Amino acid sequence: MNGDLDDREMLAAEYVLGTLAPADRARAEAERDRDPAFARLIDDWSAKLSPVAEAVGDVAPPPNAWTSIETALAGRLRSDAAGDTQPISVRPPLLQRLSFWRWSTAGALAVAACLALYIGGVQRLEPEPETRYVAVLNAGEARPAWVLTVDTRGRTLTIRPVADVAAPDKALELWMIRDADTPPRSLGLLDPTQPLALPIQAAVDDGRLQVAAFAVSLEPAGGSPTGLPTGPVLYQGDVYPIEE
Amino acid sequence: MGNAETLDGLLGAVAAGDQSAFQRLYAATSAKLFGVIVRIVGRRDVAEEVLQDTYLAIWDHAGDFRTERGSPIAWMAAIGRNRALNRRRGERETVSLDDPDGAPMLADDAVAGADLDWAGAGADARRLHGCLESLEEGPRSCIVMALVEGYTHQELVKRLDCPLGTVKSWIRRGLSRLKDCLAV
Repeated sequence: MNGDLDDREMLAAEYVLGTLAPADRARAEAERDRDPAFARLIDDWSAKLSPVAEAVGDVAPPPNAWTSIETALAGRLRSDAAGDTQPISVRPPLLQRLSFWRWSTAGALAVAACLALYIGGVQRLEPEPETRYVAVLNAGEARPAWVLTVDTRGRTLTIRPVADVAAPDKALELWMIRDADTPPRSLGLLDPTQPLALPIQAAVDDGRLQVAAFAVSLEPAGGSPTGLPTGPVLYQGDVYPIEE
Repeated sequence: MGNAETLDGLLGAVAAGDQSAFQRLYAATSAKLFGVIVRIVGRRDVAEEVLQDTYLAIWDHAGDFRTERGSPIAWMAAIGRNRALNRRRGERETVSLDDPDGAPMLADDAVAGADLDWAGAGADARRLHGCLESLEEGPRSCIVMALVEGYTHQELVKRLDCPLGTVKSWIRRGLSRLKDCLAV
């Protein structure tokens, strides 16, 4: 038994606990910023008390919460890249140019997440006579997560995971995006552990695949309740023809 | 979260600026953090704002995480909890987050912390649980309710129907005992 804490340590401990009145809380924060030793006391107490979180029950955040975070982060990264001189735009001009809002007025933020999908995608519908297409779906700059091939002659699509894409308690839903004016169409749920082959009749016209891009979104178990992506787009990729 | 990826690995990748790792980290941890935050701020819309703020802070500070300081989830939850507390303290000046009459939101359970589930928690959490259980009832209730619900001294006074002096001394005594217990 070491007896009672001294006043400074008690201030740090109660700051972490959260019981201080607002004025004392502000005082503790000022002290933390001024004095590294006090900041260490706060860190120590945080390490002691924070594991309580592990016992608090999970609550699923709303599906669009990730999109808000992603949008805020993208805005910040953009403004960092621009030397902090230009205002953060949550709605890039391109988004307005592609009459994108037609199919999703309610999910404005969810739409922003899909934006990247369109930027490279919509240009790529030149009438090439190939019969095989490939898309590599990834998340941003990361390594490939899914490899998708389409055989237009057999009108089949095959998609297989090439990375760990497990999403416990959630569903991974595959979408095809025809062009900017057409809502994404669900191709169903993916199994993160094995390849899936699907018929893809409607998307093939005159031997050519009428799809600009594919995307995989994170959805509640059972899939999107709305028929449009409701969760974050985890993986996406443009479609490229393969020369035969 | 997949078997191949640990939360520390993801935090390391996030520290290096890997946005897809950030997304996977979010997928693996957001329900826990949202649970912690919503319990403190009491309103889902407010909790969502705090959650966003929390993950942006995690993005900024992922490089500060040290495994020897505890589990990744506890470190992340500490960021969320602190922001939730700031929000709760700020809001309380103008608007009640709980009952319209200003009384603190009460958990249904009569015993503080009865709804906590320590079974699946890690070693640090189990040790904390053991030490909390070793406290006398007054200090234990104060500390558990402050930890989980974000109550201030005044809210604990109302909740426990005890004088302010008693609540303050329970907290001081409880924290001192906790430190000794956790140091063993």
